[in-house]
Amino acid sequence: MVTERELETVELNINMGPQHPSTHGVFRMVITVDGERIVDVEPHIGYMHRGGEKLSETMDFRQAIGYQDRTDYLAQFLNEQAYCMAVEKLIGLEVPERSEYIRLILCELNRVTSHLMFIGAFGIDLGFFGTSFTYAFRERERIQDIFEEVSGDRLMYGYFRPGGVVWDVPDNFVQRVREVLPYTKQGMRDLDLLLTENEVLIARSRGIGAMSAERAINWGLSGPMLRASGVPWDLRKDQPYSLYDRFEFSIPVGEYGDVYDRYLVRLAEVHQSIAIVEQAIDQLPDGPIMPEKMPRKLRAPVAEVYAAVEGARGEYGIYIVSKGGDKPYRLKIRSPSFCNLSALKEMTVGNYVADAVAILGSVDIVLCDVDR
Amino acid sequence: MAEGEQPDAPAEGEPPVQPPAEAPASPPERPARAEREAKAPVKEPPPPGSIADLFAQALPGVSLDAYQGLSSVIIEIGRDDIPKVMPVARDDPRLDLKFLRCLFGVDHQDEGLEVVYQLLSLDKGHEVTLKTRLSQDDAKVPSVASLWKAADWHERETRDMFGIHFEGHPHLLPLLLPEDMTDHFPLRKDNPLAEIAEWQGDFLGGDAAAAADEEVEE
Amino acid sequence: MEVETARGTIETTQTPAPAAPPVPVPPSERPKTGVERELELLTPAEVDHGKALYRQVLPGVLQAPAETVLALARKSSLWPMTFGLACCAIEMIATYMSHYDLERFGIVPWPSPRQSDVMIIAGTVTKKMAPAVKLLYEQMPNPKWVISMGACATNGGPYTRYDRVLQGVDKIIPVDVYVPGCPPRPEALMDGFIALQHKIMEERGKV
Repeated sequence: MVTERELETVELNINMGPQHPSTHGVFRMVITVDGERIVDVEPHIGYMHRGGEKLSETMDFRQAIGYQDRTDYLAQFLNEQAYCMAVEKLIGLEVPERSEYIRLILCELNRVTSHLMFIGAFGIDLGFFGTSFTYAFRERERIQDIFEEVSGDRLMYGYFRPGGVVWDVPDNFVQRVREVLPYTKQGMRDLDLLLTENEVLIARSRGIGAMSAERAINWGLSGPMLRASGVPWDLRKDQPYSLYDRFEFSIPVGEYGDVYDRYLVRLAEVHQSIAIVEQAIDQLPDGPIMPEKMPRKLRAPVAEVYAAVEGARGEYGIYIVSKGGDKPYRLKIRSPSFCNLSALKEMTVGNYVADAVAILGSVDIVLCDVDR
Repeated sequence: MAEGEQPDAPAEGEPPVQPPAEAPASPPERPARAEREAKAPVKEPPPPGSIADLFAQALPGVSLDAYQGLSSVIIEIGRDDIPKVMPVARDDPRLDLKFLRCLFGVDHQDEGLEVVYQLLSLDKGHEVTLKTRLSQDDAKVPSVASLWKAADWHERETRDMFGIHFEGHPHLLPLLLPEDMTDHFPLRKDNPLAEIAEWQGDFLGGDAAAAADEEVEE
Repeated sequence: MEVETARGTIETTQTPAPAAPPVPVPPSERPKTGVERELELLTPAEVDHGKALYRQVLPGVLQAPAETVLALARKSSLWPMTFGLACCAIEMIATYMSHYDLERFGIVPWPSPRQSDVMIIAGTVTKKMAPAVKLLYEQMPNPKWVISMGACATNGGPYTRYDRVLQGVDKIIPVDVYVPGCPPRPEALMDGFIALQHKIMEERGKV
């Protein structure tokens, strides 16, 4: 009889993707397993590399907004905000207060919809087979109705411009937002009851894929992944931009940096975002939405600028190198999913194959953001 | 990059580009170097007490060309100084730049390639942008992947996009490009955009058919 | 209970004898239902034992040609492979969800290509991804259809000038329905599916 120690095992290469129901988009992982334990992970990306950076160099500053929407297609307003902040800093435009408030409210609502999508997809990854997704999308559709009334499009808004926003919000905007927020809170309560204390979810996510604070900083993680590891770094508080210093909100910080903590951090962030929106919608002032001396053609000086926002997935930054003229010479997108995903191997090695799906889900990647 | 050529259809969801009041000045060639330098603003020195001073204290022998950019202090260092500067930037307790925000390349055509490092310190709250210039024929830079693991993928991507070779990187393989298309580098300025495929011109009809009568670039 | 005996009524706790079991009714005497009842109404001369019974009882029904029945079955139960590539995938998912509900058309998203009928290419196809798309198309069994959703899958969309992007998925696989938009609204995708259903009905007997 052969004992287990005498068995010669061979390591197996399993290919997950590029088409796979659990990878969020076209992503390929080649996992080397010894039995059920993962020994090595090699992520292959680039299946969605469409050249947003190169094509933005051919567009002038107002036209390149379209590519920003399509980079991280779940947090579009946050992308547009980063780009508009960079161009405004470069050219020297000052955004009127009403536009700043509108931008802030829409950005925070967009963060809510992005996290709702994460919570829905997280449930599916851990075996809830559609329930969490349907709940999450019900609330997402309500907020998307507001976005559609404001900008005209369901997904690729293209509403922000350098200098402000393209047109004013409709008259019933404040009332609509106030109508929708109680539904969102109720939806979050439903999702919370469904997922947070669920034994299966906790068993599949507690202690899996933990990252310590030091390693998280070294790997360049940002956003909820960094905060779940215990580092209280949030660009809204530490390098404030827009009007975030006028509102009271707290930054949820996790403890262990495992998958469950990341889920809890995002869940708490939704509540904080709703609180910001409630405060902001009370204070929305009247006034113009574009600066008065708005040049017809936006010409930039010879300079370089970097602007970053706290996106839904992490720090989303735009670095523009300009050599005069009305087009950016080089537009670099510092995308959070790219940086967060580079740490995948470190988090996954040593766990089981089933945990690889949970860890990938907790990174909350958007493939167009990874590949740009 | 095609000179001044816009894509045929307007970008989605945008208002139409307003016709400029004066004649648009898009010169077909780049102006001479003297003209460009005349347009370039004077580089202001950074304010005292900023991170440039900390760098000067921590690295006394290294030549640092520091100036104040629009978002942060920019310091230009030589390519061969990178193995000296980067470990100090990360480990020196005054600098403590443990977070590598971004690493990318820029193609300044005649002036060479440039690699930009953006560093941030979460505890101290200060940030800096380090830049180093390379020539087009000798595009090699020492790698910092051993210091900040975040640089791993950023350097692979920069190699894909610009062809800059990072010496000392553990596995400098293609990341974003297809394996069979890694010989020409997309983000270099001499790499043109693709032309729209031939058959679409037939559907457009008339002048557009003649204009769009080009082969698709494989 | 009380029992009568020769000595008069006495009290016992004995349960009464159970009633006799009911006599089963033979099949020839049971009331007729369904086809048999209809047959009863027909006179014996009208019943042709050589032909299928349902045709004589319910004339005019289920006499459609097989190709119509097959086309009806195929169009009412299209199972798409979940193949969302980019931003259009979000709109595709929103179409499946309860607000727009694609499942009422019989459309059930299915992850495996070997058991699905339709492939919805939702998003940009890059040249790196193109071999995988072609392989997945070849893995699907016949009959199969392709819906190209969005501007990127139709002709490259906003990213068409980049040389690593395939300018339209119809360069590698045959497409049946193109749904324009960037991204197309859920109603537009439903319209695309209904157009595909019309196409399946029109093509019956020829494919």
